[in-house]
Amino acid sequence: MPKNNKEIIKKIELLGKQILKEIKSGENPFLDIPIRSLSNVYYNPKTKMIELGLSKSKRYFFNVAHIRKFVQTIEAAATVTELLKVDKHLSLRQVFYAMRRTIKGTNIDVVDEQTESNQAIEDLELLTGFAREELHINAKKSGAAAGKIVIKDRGDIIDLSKMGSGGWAIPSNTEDVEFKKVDAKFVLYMEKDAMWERLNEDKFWEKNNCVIIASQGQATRGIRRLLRRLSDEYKLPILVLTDFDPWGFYIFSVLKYGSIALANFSNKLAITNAKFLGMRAEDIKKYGLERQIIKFKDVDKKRLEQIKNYEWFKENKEWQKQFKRMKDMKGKVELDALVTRGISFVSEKYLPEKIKNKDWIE
Amino acid sequence: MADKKFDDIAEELGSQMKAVSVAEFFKKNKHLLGFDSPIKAMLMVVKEAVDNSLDATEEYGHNYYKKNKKWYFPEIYVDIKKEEYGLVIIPKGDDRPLADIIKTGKKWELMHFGKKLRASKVDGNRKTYNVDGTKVEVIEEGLKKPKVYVENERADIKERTLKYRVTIRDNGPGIIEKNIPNVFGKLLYGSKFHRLRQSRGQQGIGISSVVLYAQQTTGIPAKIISKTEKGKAVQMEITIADNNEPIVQNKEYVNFSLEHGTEISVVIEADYISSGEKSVYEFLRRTSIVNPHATIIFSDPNKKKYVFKRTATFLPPEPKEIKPHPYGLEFGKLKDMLLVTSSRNIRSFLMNDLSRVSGAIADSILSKLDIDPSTKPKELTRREIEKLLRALQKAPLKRPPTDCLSPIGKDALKKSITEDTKAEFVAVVSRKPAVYKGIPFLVEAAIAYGGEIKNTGTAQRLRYANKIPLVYDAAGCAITKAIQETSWKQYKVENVASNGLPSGPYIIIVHIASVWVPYTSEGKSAIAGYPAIIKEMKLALQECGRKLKGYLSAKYREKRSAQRRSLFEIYVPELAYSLSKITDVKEKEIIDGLKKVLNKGKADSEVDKDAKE
Repeated sequence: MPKNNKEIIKKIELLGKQILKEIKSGENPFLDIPIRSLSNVYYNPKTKMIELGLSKSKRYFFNVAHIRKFVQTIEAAATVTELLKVDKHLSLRQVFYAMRRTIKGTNIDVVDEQTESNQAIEDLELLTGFAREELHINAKKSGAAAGKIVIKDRGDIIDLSKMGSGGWAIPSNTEDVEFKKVDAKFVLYMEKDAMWERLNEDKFWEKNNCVIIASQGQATRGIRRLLRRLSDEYKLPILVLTDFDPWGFYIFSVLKYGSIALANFSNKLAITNAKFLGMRAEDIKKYGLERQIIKFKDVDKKRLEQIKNYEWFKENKEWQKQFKRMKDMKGKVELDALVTRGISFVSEKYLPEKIKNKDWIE
Repeated sequence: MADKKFDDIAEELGSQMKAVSVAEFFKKNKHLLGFDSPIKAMLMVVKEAVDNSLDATEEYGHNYYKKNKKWYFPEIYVDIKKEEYGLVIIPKGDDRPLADIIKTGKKWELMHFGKKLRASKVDGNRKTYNVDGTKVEVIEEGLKKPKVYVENERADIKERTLKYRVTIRDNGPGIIEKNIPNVFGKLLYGSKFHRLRQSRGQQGIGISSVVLYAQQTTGIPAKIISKTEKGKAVQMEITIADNNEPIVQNKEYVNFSLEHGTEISVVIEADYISSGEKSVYEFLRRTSIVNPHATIIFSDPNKKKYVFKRTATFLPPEPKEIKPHPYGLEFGKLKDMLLVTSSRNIRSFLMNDLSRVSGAIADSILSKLDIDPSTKPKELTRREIEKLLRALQKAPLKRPPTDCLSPIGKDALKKSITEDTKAEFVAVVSRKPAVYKGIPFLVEAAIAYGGEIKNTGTAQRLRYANKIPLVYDAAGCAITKAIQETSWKQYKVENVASNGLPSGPYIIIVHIASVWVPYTSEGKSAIAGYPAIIKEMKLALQECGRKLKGYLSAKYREKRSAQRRSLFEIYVPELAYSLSKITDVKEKEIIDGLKKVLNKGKADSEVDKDAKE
């Protein structure tokens, strides 16, 4: 059993012992769970991260409103202990089935829906301070990587410059991935698979000595952890490429400052020196993409207003300029629109130019 | 003091008796007396007779107790029989009835405009008649409805309004022979009209109106049998002459099944319904609830017998007669009293004929008004009477005495309601006497909940005045108003309709006892809404409500706690199972520990703290 596993099992056991102690002293047993709602999440300007506050709520076993969740949390802990002991991994869906059983003499199940087991796992993360991946629970894997880097994953040496057209599929847990050789000078992360395909076909990573990583939409925890480790361990600049729209901006925001939902793990996931490379308002004029502007819908407008007022963007003049331009434009532009300037325009002109000029926003 | 309307009737009766026949008067005022529909007429006949029986028997019971130190309880027997089974012949293709068929004994007879027809031909069970030139054949089939052919075509036959014989018998003191004709055969006769004492009947019009109703609808005289302890049982048939004098026929001495008591038997045209608020059954049931000291036996037209058993072991206190209190006097009443009084002078009239007027007060009033205290009461002028009334009503008088009232009593009422409704919870409140317009009154209220009470939507409301159920005019009644104005939600009643009436398995009972119940009309079916009366009713209902709340809260609490406990018990082994896996402590040990916590009651104490998530 890996050393880390033992440590987690010990921590969970302590949690159980604490409950037993309460029962023994005749008290209504309870769990002290940090509150995960917006009210307990704040932006810490010192660490430049979204962090979880100190508020906790007591979850009692003998309480009509709590009892079910209480049992689910402890059952999740039992399931994880078992996983760690045999050093196996399960997906969120599989954990749901592992926890599911019918209570004797009733037609009540311990968990009815996956959302319940998912929440129990999140609670367990908060109670133990270990992330889901460390508890051997995987989400769906997502995303691909290629570039000048060699890694070791579950004992296999993998050279990311020899991954063909598909690239290395990034697992949901990247904690135990070892970096064997890192030649890359920076990492380029993009929100679109299609863009990654384009750059991979053009061997952009070889010409520019970097690693390219993509996932569809928000970066998974596995990707975020991988990026963070490359930033921490090899001081590689992390450059981010998204559409010019509020949703793209938010993908960058999560990467750099952390997210509300995972505020408790910002210290492991936030990449505080991530840089926003594009697409930016200035690019549209510079590369003549005005005709490619897609008109805003109401949801886009609303989202822009929200993002504009996020604390971490509020004081940032550069970002406020982007928001204002976007608002004036009343529309968005997709990365794919660059193709209107030529099939490999992005890899041959747009990106090299921007990187050379350090044309990014912090 | 009496309601305006009633004074009018009394006066009309007095002054016009000579000019207008009693029959005519009755026809004109049928609605006021409560005989305005066939269903209501049936109920009125039963009600008036039962009222009288209860009053008489109770009075006897109290005298009996004084003499023998033993209780004597009313037993009232009500019997309703179909007297005439009538059919109407309706020829095919016509909607007008051609003739009636009446069953007398075992024979069917054809009637046309009130006259019996003779068959022109009899052939076995087939009889042929000539009805105004129309050939009618009647084929009798024993007791079944006969078949009828009109001009050789089968005719429809419909049941006609039936005549019923209604008999009410009590084990009361009986009436001495010479008084019987006046009691039953003279409107406004009786001792009740000018006295102030709580009794069921209070106008002396009730039972004679029953006799008159029978006389008007069927022409059959009322049959009375009465026997006093010492006298012989006498039977007579009574009708009322147009000059309001009784006509007695067929008087004879008979055998009577009781040692003493009275029986009245009338044949009336009316409708009998077997169930519902306006049925005789329901009326008697309700009567028995508030008269737990009486046994009522009812035999319905289908000869089914119902017995409403006595549940009390003593009679309610005897109501005492009181004199009118000046605050409730009206000009006409005072004038009448001055005319008939036996007091020799005005000073002694004030002191003896009215309640709560002392010698000192009488003297000060008379001297202020400059009336000689030795003036004969008859000699006061109209102006003086007016001034006297005003001065009396401003004088600082004590409230009238209240021992004239006879409540049912909290315990007796509770026992009776519980017996009748088989409710799981009964709250009863008997208020202290209060006064409206110088007239003492008292309110009793009860709420029965759950048990065998069915949830039929809006709660059942049982209204009573002087221990008699009120059936009609619920909407215009002070009791209904008081129920609606009570905020039931406050008392944990879950469903309350928008009109303020509670909904669910509830029965609400309100009883008002008074020497003079202010009815809204002569039909005596609704209480007038004097603020003092509504206030007392509401206070009584609120007190019941508070008791109900206590019960319901405890009930809900128990239910919730049981639910919670069973929920906890389900999850205890589950937690133990999971917890055992992460701590290697045995499941049983954990279960025992958790059960200890649960039994210590710790479980509930912290439940609502930090319930947010």
